[in-house]
Amino acid sequence: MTEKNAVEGMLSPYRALDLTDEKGYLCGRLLGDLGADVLKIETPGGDPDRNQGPFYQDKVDPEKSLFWFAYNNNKRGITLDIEKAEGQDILKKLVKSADFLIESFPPGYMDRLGLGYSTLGKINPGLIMVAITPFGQTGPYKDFKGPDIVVWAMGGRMYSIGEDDRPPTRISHHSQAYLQGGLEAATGAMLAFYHRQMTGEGQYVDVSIQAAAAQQGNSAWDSRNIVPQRTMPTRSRLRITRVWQCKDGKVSFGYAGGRMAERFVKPFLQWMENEGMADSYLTNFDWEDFDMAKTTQATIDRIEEPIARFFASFTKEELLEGAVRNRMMFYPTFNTADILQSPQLDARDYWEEVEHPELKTSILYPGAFAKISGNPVTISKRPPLIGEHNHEIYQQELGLSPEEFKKLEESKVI
Amino acid sequence: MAKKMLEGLKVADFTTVIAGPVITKPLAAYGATVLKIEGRNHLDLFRQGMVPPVGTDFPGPFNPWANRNPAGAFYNTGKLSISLNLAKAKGREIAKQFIMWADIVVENFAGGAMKRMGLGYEELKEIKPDLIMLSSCMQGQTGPHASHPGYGTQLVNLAGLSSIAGWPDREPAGIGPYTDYVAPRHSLVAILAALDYRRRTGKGQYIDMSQFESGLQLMAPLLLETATTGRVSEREGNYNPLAAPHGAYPCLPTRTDRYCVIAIYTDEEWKNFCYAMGNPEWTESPKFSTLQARRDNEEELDKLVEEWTIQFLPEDVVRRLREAEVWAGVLDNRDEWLNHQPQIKRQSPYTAPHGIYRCHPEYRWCAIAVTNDEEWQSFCRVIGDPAWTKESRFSTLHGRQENVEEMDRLIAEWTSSHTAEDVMAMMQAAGVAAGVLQTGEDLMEKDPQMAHRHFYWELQHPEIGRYRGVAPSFVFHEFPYELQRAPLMGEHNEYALKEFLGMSDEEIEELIREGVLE
Repeated sequence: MTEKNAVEGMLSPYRALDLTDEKGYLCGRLLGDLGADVLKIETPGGDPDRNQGPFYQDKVDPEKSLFWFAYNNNKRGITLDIEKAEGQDILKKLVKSADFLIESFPPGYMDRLGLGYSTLGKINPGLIMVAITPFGQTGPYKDFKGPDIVVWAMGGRMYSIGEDDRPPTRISHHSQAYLQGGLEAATGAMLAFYHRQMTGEGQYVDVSIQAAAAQQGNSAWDSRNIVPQRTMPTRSRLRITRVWQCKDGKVSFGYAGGRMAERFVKPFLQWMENEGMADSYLTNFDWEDFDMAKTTQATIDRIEEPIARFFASFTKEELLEGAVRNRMMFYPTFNTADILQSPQLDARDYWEEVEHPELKTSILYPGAFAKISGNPVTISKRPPLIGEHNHEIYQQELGLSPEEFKKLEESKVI
Repeated sequence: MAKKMLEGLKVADFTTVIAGPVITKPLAAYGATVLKIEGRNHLDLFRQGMVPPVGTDFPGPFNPWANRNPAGAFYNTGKLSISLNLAKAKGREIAKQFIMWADIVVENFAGGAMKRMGLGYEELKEIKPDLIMLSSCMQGQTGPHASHPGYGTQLVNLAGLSSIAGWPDREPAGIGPYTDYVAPRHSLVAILAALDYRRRTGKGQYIDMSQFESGLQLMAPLLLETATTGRVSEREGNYNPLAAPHGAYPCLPTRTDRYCVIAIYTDEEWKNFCYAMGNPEWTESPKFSTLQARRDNEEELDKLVEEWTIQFLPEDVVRRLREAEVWAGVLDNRDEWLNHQPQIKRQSPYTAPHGIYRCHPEYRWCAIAVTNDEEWQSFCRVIGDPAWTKESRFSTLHGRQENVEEMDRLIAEWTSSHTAEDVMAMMQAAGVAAGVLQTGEDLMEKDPQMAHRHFYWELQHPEIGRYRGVAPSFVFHEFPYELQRAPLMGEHNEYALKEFLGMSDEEIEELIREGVLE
């Protein structure tokens, strides 16, 4: 790993206290990426979401969760039991000098502990307190449980995804809805922060993950009272291929007639010709007049046969390069192994090798979310171990004596 | 009324379609002045009808069609519009003046286009050193794919998101322009940080946003998995992956309730496991060589594993397996373990039931996710404790996972006789996570939570009529936002030229004559 500590982040004078679980990791991660000093505050023993896989070398261990690693870079880590009175006192001390506090507890939880915005905002009037929940702090659904699949369902995003002979489906693996919520929370936090820098006033930011998932809007319903159906019809009149087989995988490509043909089909036919695979049926076909609504399966099959043959003679990488060269708007369906080989990402120096001394190895991480000219985003801190910075924060910064520190450890406050 | 939060902040917005306009939409909602600089030469796709009515020309800027695409009106709420011909030198000159006026410049042309128009950051920086500029495109401003144009609906393929959406036995599902809602949030966070940095240091910033790289942030755990194990995770429908072998296996002494627990996820673990068993001949069979094969032949596999474990005390099995770096544990109470397996929770939520269930009428659906045994009990009570829930194959998490298809069928028998709203209400009241699979109609007309948050704003548009915009997903306790309708094309030509650039009527007349305003 190259020396990156010299780079100053845009938010380096500021501190964020990150009390979130998986619903909010990404929010603090972004502030940390931009240079803020983010303290990940975990319950003694570590965040429960450290139990989420995948795991480094498949070893189930809270210190080896790749899920946790992915969203807790650029943070320092301390443990603190905020349900205990001593823990609450310490949190209040930390709040005094913090700029942001991010939490994702159920609505009312922080208030019940005496740590609501009405209290913390008095301790530090400039504090930006960000609360991330599935449905928001108030309203009829505020106490509803909201795992990923439920929030997607209620956010309107899922109804049209999938195939029509099966239930609609979500994106697999870790919660995408929570990541959307984390992104929105960071946006809200920074808007509130901008305002604070102008006026000195803090803010309470109430983020709804359902609303984050609903950001795409519903123009079809609003303007035409249409409910879009699922993206992968299997019961329609025509079988139309959208995902094609290539030499080593799949490629997603759509064709259409009329005006769209000019943009999407003509360059493709030119490419086929350049490769010596032109098909006279396609070349002479009246694309201008072609209408999916009126055509027959026989026509579709005749159109698709040479296209399928064309795709089948190239690899994903060759098709991607061809799409770029011919300015065609389609991509192969990459999996994570393909992405790791991407020449474009290499050329942009995307990946970051991050040292994990505790594992005696280094791990390749996805790099910056954006390339920022003056103050590049880098991974300057690997994800913290459980309580790794307790000493630094409690003794060096808050000035607890070794005896006091030990007492807190013994009473399991930290 | 208090000042708006971002009053005084000025944005020159060259963006089109979704991934660009979504960046500046919240800024407009909170009071920033966002000027959409558009024109015939970079007509927003959403200023065009994808399918114009028969007999209309390709819609030009003053063609009424330019103002009638509801998507365009949706993504540009609260902005001002100037229609400027950037193909003309004078048009680019005026664009430059608006850049001088602005605090922030945002564009999402295909990589390199601003530069070709003489509006690249390097050039602009010379005349405005503290400029904050963000360029958002498919794959970034540099590298061999920099200038490749495209849309988010396609980019999700490149970013791996399609490969993990849909059913394992089917093609990847289309998920729409998902990355178009990821990059704008990253973009806005970076812009707001740059504003503060400029306030403190006087320095500007260029932000090169690759929507590809931004989208990969949401794939990070799986990228780390592939980078460290070489394994590639694929789509799983609404289920979660199983390991195989995976379960509790009986040990010595026989006729007691003593088991060892084994969970094998990877082929490497499988090899180690075979080694620990002394590589019996059956492990060589292709029936067990991959996870998929092991899952397909799970019954036979479990029997063979059992034949081995039954020869030892559980402690011995565990010792051997741990030496071979295979996860294993001793179990004294089989049911307890099967219902509580946090240590081997591989993906979240590792649960069953977990899916989308058909309700009444048949085009309505409800999501249900049961995450622990307590919730399973509540779930059973809600559906009236039918006999099947007591069957041993469904009474444990492990059993439910193994018989997931049959279980889902039985659950759907119940859900399909209830409305999705009733299923949600009954489940949530009992502490079980459930949610209606909502459509635009549900969200806009029925959802009381969205109404409570005043998420949808009814707006009046001169050409579209009544339409609805959406608020940000966060609310501030004090400072409200205000959503206003999107502008007509060129609606603020005169206003912006006079108020922001101080032009006279004569100068504006000339611009019209020269076709600079179009």
